Amino acid sequence: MRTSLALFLLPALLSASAPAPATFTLPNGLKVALFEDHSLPLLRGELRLDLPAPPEDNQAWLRPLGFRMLAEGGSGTRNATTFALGADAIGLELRVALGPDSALWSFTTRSQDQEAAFALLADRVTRPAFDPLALEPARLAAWSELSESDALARARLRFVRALSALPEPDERMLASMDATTLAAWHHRLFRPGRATLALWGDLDASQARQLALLSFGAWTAQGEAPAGTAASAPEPGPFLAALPGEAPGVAIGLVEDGRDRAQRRFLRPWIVAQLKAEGIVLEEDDALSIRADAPLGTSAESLRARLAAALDVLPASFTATDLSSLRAQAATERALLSLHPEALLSQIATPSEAPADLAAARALLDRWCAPSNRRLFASGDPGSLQELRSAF
Amino acid sequence: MLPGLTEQRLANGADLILVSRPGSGAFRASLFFRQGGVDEPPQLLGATELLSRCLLGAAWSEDLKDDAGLDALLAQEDGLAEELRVAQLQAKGASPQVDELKAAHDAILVQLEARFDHAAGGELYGQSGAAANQAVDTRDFLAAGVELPASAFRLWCETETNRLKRMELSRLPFARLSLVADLRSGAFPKDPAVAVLLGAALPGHPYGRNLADYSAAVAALRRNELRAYARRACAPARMAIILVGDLDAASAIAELQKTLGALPQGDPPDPPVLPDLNLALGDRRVQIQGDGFRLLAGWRIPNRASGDTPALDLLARILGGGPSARLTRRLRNLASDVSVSTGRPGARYPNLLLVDARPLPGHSLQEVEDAIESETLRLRQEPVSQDEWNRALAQLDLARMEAESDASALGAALGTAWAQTGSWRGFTDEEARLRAAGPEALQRAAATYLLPGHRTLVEVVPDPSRRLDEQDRAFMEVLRALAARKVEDPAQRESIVGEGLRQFQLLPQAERARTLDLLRRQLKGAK
Repeated sequence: MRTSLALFLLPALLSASAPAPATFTLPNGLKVALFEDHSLPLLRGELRLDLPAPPEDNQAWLRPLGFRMLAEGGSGTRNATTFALGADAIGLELRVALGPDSALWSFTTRSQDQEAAFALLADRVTRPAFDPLALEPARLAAWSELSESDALARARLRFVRALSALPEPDERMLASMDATTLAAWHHRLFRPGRATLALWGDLDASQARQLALLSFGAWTAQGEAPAGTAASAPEPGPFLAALPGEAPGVAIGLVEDGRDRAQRRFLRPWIVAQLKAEGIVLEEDDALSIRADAPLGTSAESLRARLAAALDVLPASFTATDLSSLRAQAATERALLSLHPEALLSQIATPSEAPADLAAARALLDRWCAPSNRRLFASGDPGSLQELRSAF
Repeated sequence: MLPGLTEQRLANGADLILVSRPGSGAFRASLFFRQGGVDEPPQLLGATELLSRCLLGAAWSEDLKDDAGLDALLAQEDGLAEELRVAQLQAKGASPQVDELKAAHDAILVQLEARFDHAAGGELYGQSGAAANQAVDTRDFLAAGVELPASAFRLWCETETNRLKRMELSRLPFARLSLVADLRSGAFPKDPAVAVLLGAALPGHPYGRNLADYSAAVAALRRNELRAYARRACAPARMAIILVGDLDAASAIAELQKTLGALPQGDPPDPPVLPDLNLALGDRRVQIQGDGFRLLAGWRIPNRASGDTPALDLLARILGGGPSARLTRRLRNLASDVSVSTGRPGARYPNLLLVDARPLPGHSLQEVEDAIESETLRLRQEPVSQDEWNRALAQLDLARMEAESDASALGAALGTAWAQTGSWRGFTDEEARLRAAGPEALQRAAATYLLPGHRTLVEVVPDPSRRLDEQDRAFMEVLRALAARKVEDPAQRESIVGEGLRQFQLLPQAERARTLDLLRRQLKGAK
């Protein structure tokens, strides 16, 4: 076996590792990390809000809808239209991504517009206005997604939700939702102590502190934090879509319950490579979900068995050499981070972390790949799904 | 001028654009070749796509050393692939000769693949801590880039020089197979509706060509032909070296002069003979079937070097840049997935300003078309307000700085401007030109180009009764290939294929098989 050149380059890579940010915490608990860079009159930022693991949040089912309302509604004293105008006037695009363990807002602004950009961000995150007029279409959209007539889309949606351990709302839950419920949900979930603001660009630590205080200093935790167990459990599946005359496709996803996310990121490249060697690819989304397709006439059960066998052997395949290689790879990646401000920020907002040792890594893989943690999705001709259906 | 930028032409004619960013400990290196799909001669269609798949990107050690055994295997594979192609064309169905040749060809492929060390780091950059190692081909240019620690600069220079000097194309057999498979399966081009729009809007121009219609030509491309083309297409006179990162200009130039700057000048290909495209060709309209309702409206606009291009880019922002943009607001309750873009499919030559939208349930394509027409009419008739002008400029300014702050985005922006306009300055100058022209330039540009006579519309309508099986797909492929020989206009071709498919699907199963066989024979007879 060849020795990786990266090992020879490692000292150089480590000496050129990514810059460390200046950090501080506001009195309300909001953490701030700053990468100072004055080469351009530009500021990039990411605000991460940690979310409790879905099983520990009795309103976790509300998240997709709540965050959609947040992204489209007004905030503070602005309605949705004036908010959009204010953002467009400075070229600000507030993007939000919802994951199983966090929500992430990212933005870029010119230095001259940074105060306006922070004000808009703070309004959106801490003072959203849930417009009752926008609620009805959102409720309808949520319901039509769940009762979607397209069998494939419906099964897929439920599968994806199950991988994030998010329970499905039923008609009664959706009907009970109103602007007051959403406001209460927001108060419980959105707490400064759960938030981290990562910044890169043309401001120094004192400016960053002042800006953060002005925009987020008045943000306080209101109401009780989410507690208790989920109101309903996520669907266990299997998620099947019968499509007459279609070739079978099977996917197995590993439930991501919001724990160990940093280790998942660290181990993901190895998992991808390992499965690729078996001719299996990970689906292109954040979740760990593998897929196999076959021509019409193939039994879906045989595809499932192939995917399951690949997952069965995964934990034991991980070796100490793999762990060292991944650590070296992480070091090389860190060395290249300074080329990309966005990647520097992501490192703060979505950190990757090596398991302590080989045993810890295998324990994690064991837990993720455990049959009880797998969810099954399959589509294809009803005949090809028959065997699969009876197996469950 | 960008801070830290050094520009120099090397002795062999290659352009160097280096943006020095001390202290980052890493760099992004790109090679741009001003030779894209638009420049391909008819007998070499698909060459740029193949080169992006097997010349650039991953640096296999097999491409960087003398290996007589590998050369012999590649020659053997090339010969067998050609024999197999001809035998498949001549055979009327399955034939023992085809089966035999296929088995021999598969065996050679297995032998070839065994020489590549995918698992243990046979790819040189992967071993060196590289990231984002990619090659891309566009209608305007071929490019490749990689990110490496600063200590690996010499390695990069030597590797790129070595592979450009050798042009081994050792992965060509696999690249050709995968490209032909992509073209035949419909996976390439990724958006068939846009391909139809380009064909209809830019008839006779290579920008309007759909490579999917030429899969047979791609399969017929031989290694020697492609190597000869690559030597000319990637000649230093058509190359820009774009470096962004922790590199000192003087020492980087010294290294480059010994390596990429020392490549022989070569013999760049003649520029393609292109039709003189009439931008005011007349309003064209095509209807095709697809997944769901969708409207694409494209207006023919001039190339990027034209003085009107910055104004047209800004008009695209005023129409579709952000939630408060005119068209976004106007279509909010009518359509989803609204986007407005320029430079489709490239910008070295006249291209399209494209509006793309999908009507929401309960709304028609006509309503969406009316809304788009109404907004373009407003742009032609009324001056843009100062507020909108400022807002669009703020977006433009921000987008430029965002690109400037990121090494990859900056490298791509500089290289693209170089390939499309002849100079990297297009990246920074366009905004300044626009500010100098003022908001009135927008109305002038709208009144000149956003006219019905410049427009082509593609209406995509769903046909829920139509599900394509393998036989349908095969029929469409054969009919497309036959039509491509007789009908130049892709929109007309698409209409013939659509109607043909409709009739084909009405036939009983046995008739369908016979018809397909007949068409296949016609295709072979015509070759």
